[in-house]
Amino acid sequence: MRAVVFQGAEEPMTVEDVDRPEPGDDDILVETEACGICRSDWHAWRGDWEWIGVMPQPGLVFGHEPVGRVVEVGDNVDRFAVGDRVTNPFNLGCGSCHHCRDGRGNICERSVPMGFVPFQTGAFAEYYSVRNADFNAVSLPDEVDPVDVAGLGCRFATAFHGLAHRVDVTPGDWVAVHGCGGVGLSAVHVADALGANVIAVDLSAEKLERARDLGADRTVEVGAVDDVPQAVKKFTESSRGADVAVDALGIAETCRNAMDSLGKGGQHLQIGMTTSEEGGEVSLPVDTMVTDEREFYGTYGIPPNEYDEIFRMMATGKLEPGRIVSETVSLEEVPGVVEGLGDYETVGIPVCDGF
Amino acid sequence: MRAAVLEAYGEPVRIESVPEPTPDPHGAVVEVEACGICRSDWHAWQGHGEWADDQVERGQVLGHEPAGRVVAAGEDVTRLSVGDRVAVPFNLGDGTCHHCLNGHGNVCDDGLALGFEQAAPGAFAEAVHVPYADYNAVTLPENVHPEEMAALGCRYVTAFHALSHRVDLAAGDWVAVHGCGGLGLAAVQLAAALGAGVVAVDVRESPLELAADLGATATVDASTVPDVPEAVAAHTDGGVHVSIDALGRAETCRHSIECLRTRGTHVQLGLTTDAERGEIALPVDRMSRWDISFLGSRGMPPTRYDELLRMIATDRIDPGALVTRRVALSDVSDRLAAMTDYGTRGVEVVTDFGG
Ligand SMILES: [Zn+2]
Ligand SMILES: [Zn+2]
Ligand SMILES: [Zn+2]
Ligand SMILES: [Zn+2]
Repeated sequence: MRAVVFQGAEEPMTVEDVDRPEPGDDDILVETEACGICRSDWHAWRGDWEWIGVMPQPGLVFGHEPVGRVVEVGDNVDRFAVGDRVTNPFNLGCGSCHHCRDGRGNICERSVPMGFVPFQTGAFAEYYSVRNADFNAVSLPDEVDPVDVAGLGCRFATAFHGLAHRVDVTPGDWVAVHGCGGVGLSAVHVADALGANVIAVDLSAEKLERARDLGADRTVEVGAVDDVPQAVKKFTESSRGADVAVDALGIAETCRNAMDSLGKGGQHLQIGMTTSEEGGEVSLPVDTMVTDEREFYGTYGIPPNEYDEIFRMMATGKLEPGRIVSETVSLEEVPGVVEGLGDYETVGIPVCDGF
Repeated sequence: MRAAVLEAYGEPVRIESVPEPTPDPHGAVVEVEACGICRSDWHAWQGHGEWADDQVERGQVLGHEPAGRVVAAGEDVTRLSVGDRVAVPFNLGDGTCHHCLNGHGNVCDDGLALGFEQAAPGAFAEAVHVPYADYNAVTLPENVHPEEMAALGCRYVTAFHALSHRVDLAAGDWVAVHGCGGLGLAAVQLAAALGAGVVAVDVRESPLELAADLGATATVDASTVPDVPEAVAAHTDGGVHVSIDALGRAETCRHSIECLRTRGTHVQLGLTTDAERGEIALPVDRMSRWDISFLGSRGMPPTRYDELLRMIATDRIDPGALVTRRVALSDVSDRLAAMTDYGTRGVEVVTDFGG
């Protein structure tokens, strides 16, 4: 089958013929219909994230926002049949550890990140397999367009889990979203759907325009203000600060700006992972966090069991993940798109739908 | 094997010879070392529940608070081995429905109630079958006494789940417990261990003495005061933060709601009798006016027993302290009859299955 193959850090990726994955007894094999191209792919291509144990080896196939049709089902798989349309979170759980059993499979003790390790290759390929499919794979409603829901593997779902389950967003809360890439725009849309007042923050006027379309009530253009946290706070009553702030990018500056834009009792949600510049560490104002009782929440992927909430909100038109999608490309174009994510020019989520 | 079988409502429970269980592929057979006698057994024996289509059928082996050793496991069982000592929640989940996958197996869509339905014969018997044993059976540390763990099937864990997971109990909160049977006494001990001040309420002196030994800060003898909520308020600076109806009569339920302070939370644990038939008139206007919450709570998810076991391991709680009497299988009938006029005290446990 055809697949995009990693050749080493910052080496051009190539489209090659590789072996089709062999699904085990607990797995399914899926024919790819769409796969989102995520900033995480760019991080992995750059060789970031060694500090969290992600060290892709040449030969790896990336791609962790997949949608497709089941073409083969392992002997032990009960919940899926050939022909089913499925997606899955990039964070694949074992289904049997303490966290998986307790509804938090996204933080599985034996979590496997799809498309970042050789034993669970990704979906920039004609086919991909999903391990422990009964636990990890998710049936899609029939009427959805695969391209629209490609972000459900990572960016859109991560934003949803973070805002709906990690922090306490109540209607009317001020939610500041720092960074309006794919995950940030998803966060804007989700926060809006949850009834929050949304403040979008980015360097790019074009991305802020898109954020407004998706439900942002206020915007802060980073290059146009002296002090980003103050500019965010100014939109809130008596400048007291945001109730929830999301770092949807993962660089020291957005992380600090998000934390500093909070009011007392505010909750910071860290979605973006850092670059090699930060190496996983960002200095935070811990004394102020103590005296203001601010909270910091990490959030990672989504447990498979939370997808039905997204589907219910899609069914009633409250969530439309397809609105974050910016362009569709073919497998041949994937290497160029991944390599180009470094200049932060992409608005929304590019999706590969030509295999 | 010998088993206590419900043959006619309100008539003596007979000890009969029934076939020994064999494990389903996903099940395990547990040799029962101890099984508590609970007020729910009494309700079943009385034929209660017919108003909710929940009457236990004749021919049922009762008993739903077992602790014992695994003697056989089905071929699909991986987490248990023969010889393991286990406790079993009465609320058996299938481990695969929406609620089980979200960590709420106590309210499983396809759940079974151990000892209350034909598909799940109970543990007033020499051996009991545990369906979906990987999901439901809870491995106990080797050094515990099974008779002290017997209430982990129902009463003790029901109180734990209510106080630890259902309400937001903060240290220093006042908790009232209405009804000091086994369930109420468990709630008294647990609320005290979680840092609350506890007011125990009953109409009998002897359980109130036991409640004081188990950590109650104050006791109210409802048979000697003119106004129970007022008496509770007098001990608690105007009302409690959390109040539990651990009995399930109109009077205890109303008292529980009326002794709350503004924004207080009532937790309903006891199920009603044939006097209420599942319905109690509640002061809804008052509850609206003062932000009073009413929470129902059932059993405990099998996946959260580890929290309780950690507290037992560090001697913060001691379910064994509730056990007042050890009896033989042939005594079950008499001990159920003694519950009719509230003639039991604490938790009584069957430990002799040959006698
Ligand atoms: Zn796991
Ligand atoms: Zn991603
Ligand atoms: Zn279930
Ligand atoms: Zn019970």
